[in-house]
Amino acid sequence: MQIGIIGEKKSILAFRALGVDVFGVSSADDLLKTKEEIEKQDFAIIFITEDIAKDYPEEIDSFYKETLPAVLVIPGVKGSLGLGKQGLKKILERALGSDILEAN
Amino acid sequence: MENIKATRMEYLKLKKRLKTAKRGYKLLKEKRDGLMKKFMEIVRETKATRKEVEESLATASKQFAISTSTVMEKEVEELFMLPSAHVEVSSTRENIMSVWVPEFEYKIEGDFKTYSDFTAPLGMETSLKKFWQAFEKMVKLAGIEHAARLLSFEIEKTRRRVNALEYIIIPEIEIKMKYISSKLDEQERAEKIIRLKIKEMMEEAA
Repeated sequence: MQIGIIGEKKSILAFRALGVDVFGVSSADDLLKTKEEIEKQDFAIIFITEDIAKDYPEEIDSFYKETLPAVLVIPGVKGSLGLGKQGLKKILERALGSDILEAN
Repeated sequence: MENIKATRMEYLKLKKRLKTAKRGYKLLKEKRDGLMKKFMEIVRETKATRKEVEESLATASKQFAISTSTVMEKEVEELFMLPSAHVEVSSTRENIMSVWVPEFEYKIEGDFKTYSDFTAPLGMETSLKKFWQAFEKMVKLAGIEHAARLLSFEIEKTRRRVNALEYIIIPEIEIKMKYISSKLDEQERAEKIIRLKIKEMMEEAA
């Protein structure tokens, strides 16, 4: 199985050196094409940079419900936008009704 | 209430349904608690790991951005044209309370160095090394955060079911049963009166 990363091309190219499949995305069309590509192949983990996740939330959302691939939002070059934390907060709120870990 | 048939048959049926509903309620509640316990464990871990990942990744990608800022995208692409490293992930599925959660193990084969030190921008190697280190945590985080997400869907579903049983289905059945039993009692009393009346009339006639 493979690992893939979706993001702005220049900032994620480094992952190619680690043997990760890099998908450069700059528009919604690109993202849809990438999604099709990913569905065809056997991916275990998909990383998505925050810039992309922020711009196309609907396209990303449908990724989440499957057992595989596991989708993870990672901070891009600009540093953390807090999207990952938000995602975690969403998960907590869905499960518990409120975010009880917020304090710590 | 009007469309309930006040018969003993119906009463027995409802009794059976109530028993099943109560049993289901108990089981689902246990499932919810179990899921919750597991979920909290995973979420705590996720939270800590995410923080680490964000920190190490932020520095790594910043460094990468700086070191590649002087060259064109195509040139960077060229550097990594032929990656010698290859990641192989294997995933096993673990069943946590009926939720299938993936667990990942990965192996990187080969070396990340695919470029020549002379043509590569400065600082490339250090930033790649940082990515390499961050990568391990990223894979771990991908696994547990995904597990937390899948669990949260299941918890939501289970909680809805538990609440529906507790606040809607079980009370509804109980009300219906009460209605039927009072209706049946009423019928019995009515019959008794009729019998007494008939007896009185017969005695009068005699």
